[in-house]
Amino acid sequence: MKLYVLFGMLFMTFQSHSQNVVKITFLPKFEGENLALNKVCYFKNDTLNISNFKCYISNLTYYNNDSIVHSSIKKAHLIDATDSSSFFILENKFFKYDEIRFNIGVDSLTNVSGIFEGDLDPANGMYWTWQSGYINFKLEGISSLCPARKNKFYWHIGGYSPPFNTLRQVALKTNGKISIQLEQLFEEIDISVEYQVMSPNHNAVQIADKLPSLFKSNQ
Amino acid sequence: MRKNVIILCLFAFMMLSFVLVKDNYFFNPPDYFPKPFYDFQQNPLDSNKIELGRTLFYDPILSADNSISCASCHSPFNAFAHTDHDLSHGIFDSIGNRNATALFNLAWQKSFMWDGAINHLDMQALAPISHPSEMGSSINEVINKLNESKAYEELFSNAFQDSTISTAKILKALSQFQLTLVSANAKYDRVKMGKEAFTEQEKNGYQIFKNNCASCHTEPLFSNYNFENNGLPLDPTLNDLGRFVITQNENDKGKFKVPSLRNLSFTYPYMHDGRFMTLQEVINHYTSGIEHSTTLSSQLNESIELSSNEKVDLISFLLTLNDKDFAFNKKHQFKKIVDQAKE
Repeated sequence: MKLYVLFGMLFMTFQSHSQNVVKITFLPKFEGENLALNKVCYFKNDTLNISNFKCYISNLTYYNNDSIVHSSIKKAHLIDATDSSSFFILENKFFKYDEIRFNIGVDSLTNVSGIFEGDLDPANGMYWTWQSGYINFKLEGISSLCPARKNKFYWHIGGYSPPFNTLRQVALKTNGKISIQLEQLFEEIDISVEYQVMSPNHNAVQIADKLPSLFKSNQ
Repeated sequence: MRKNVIILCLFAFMMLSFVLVKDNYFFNPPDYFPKPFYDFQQNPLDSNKIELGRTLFYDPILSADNSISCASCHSPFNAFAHTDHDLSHGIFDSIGNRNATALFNLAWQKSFMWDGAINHLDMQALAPISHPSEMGSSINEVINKLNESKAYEELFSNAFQDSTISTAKILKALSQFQLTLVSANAKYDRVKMGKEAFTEQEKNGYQIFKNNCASCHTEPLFSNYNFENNGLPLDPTLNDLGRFVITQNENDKGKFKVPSLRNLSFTYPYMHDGRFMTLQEVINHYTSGIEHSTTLSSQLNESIELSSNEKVDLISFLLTLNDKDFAFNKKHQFKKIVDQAKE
């Protein structure tokens, strides 16, 4: 009898717990598969090996029928391919939503407001030390088409002030399961030409323009 | 009864004044200074944090091989510049491409470095820490090394009531120490406060300064901290285009941040590449060495004409901006262990 009560209580706390939160996922993908770092894959006429993927999601806002139902308290969230726990964002509140809007990257105000802890800590490797500013989106690896030393390519997309503002907005009808379809970048960028982008400049802006369409709802 | 109330009021007033004094104790610029730009509310000054910042500032642990500290290129006796070196030098005897800037009155500056590459005082230290020819390290490496130190465990714990070491704590502590580097007790300041008077020659020099220099080197900080091209011919061995490197904007070619004219006797050589050793050379540049270009500061379009007597007078005024109290202030210097035991 006592055991039943205990289980019942456990069940109820579990129930209420899952009803009290909203959880969304951002899954880095490559051709439909979960992104695997440091693994050789063949894409069109390229042999690719992605070694690093990180990206900031900020100003996350939830909408239902075009009106705001919740704004995430967290200023910016870092997605890091080496840490699968970073693929989830949890809101400690339950609400219905049919759309999310967010920025890819860190906004200009945050960029000029000094030092922050947690996801915005410069120790995460997403901050330029020689010229203040966050890297919004980082993808690195080896491509057989890349003419650089050891075929290494570096896409460090950042820059917060005009004309090199690389923050991009996304609005997505979704139930909370989002994939980041990275192969699309290799279709749209000629990696034999643009293989080293590591400062706020025209190339960074051009790549930034391609980022919003990588984000797709799984439904 | 009434007496008690008066005593109580007096006591309350004393306590209040103590609190107010404590608030301003570490940062107390004169009334005629403008409002600081740094947001102290985000990083309120505290004696233990300043102390931690001072210790870090003088500690070569910030560099890859424990050889270079901030003070290696920013010496307190040179108003935190590096006298005698035209270009800064760092780890493994490497030479940089600019003159180490003097560090004082940083709370009034919106950006840092000669080209404004750094947008906030808190972020400044990351640049020399990770620059391959300055300290050649990284913030992660610094945190790892500090984590092995017992002394720092205590310093961080005193400063933040928590001994965990993080980027934010290191940078905020370094900012705190540097914010206390206020230079505001030169003869100019004492004249301003009515405590002293200029000589006739200094008065003449002040007038010449106001007519020819003050639009960029604005009082009382003696810089507007904007970016200007002051007509220096490009040094082909450096090809340094200054602000343009950061903004990629053609209009910024050859522009550098206007430096303050305070403490000039301690901070030679002058200009972003330390090309001039003496003030005489600097003034001669403004009277006869200006190279005209599309980005030349509009203030320099008309030539500045000064007689040799006027040049001497101008220099005598500029020397009233030397702040010896600042350059030799013990509070800013390396803390010796003997001193610590005595305290």
